[in-house]
Amino acid sequence: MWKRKSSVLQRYFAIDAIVLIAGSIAANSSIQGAPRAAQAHFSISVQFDCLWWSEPQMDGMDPNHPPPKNTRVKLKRWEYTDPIGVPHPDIVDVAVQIRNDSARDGIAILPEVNIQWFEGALNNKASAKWGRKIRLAKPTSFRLAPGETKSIRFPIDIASEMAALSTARQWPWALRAVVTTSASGVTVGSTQLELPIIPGD
Amino acid sequence: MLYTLLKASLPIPNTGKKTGGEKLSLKLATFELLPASGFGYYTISPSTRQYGTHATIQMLLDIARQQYWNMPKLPIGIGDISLHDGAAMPPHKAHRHGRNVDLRPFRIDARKLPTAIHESSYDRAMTELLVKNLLAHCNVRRILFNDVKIHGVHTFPGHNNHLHVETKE
Repeated sequence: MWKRKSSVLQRYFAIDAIVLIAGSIAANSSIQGAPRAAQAHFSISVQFDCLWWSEPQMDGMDPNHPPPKNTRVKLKRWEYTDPIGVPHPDIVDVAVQIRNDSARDGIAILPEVNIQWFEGALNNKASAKWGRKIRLAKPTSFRLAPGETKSIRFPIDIASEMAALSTARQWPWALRAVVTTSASGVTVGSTQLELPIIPGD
Repeated sequence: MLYTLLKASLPIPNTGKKTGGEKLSLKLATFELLPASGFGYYTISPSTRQYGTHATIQMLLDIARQQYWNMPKLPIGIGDISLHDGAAMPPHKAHRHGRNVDLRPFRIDARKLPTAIHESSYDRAMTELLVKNLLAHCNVRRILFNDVKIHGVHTFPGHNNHLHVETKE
């Protein structure tokens, strides 16, 4: 699923949306009782993505009876310039993928996401300011076997935010997500990524 | 009689004055819906977002008919125009008065898909012909599009993948 792309969609989603972190942790023996010298290594990638139409679905689509969006695509930006071809989903996911690169087993992994909106007047982006940090629902922790990978998604309702702001002619010009991953209570990676949100003209 | 009919078809009275915080205009009642299909074009927006002034819809039908006779296998992709009452149409800043239309540039493979000026699928020659036809129409005021090699268009951020056509009436 992570590699599914169409040639049209690829134009709008850059590979650089992925931030890769190699995390390293000296396991806290006071918590886990593991040997102090034992080390665990994780690869953590974070990106914005969403469900959108595939290229075959877009080709000649009836906009009054669109098919369900069932192709997952990586988002470099949210943009309303083509009603079908350029993704502008109601829901954007912060997708976190974590792989245990070590030989250690049984480490409790916990990713957490905080978001902020960059909000201001629809006709004046310069007026926008970062709002308060909002913590998304805390997921339960999980354990990864050596070499195992797990993907977790944190959905963000962009459409609701736009609707809430629209009455005052305001706009969420960007979305920032900070993903902090901890293992056995120790932070092993913190990634910040931003999604520009571009209105139509 | 006509006014009565218009009044009955509108959710709000048409006084032209501010009532309950909304500015009303009789012009709103004259919006027409672009037919969902026709000669020389296809739509890429839901019908609810394709209302325009009578003159704007006629301009689109004129240009599309011309396109059909000249290039029947290369229809124009028509996107957002306005809502039925001309109200604000998020997430657009404009498109409020039935006189703004978004069109797709042409592709060399003639598929009904988006393209943009820096992409290999973009067909500059055919898009330039479309621009010429549009600018020759008596109701077209301005076209925003970022291909500077096409004479007559105005560049504007965000217009690599669509032509924003403004009409006079």
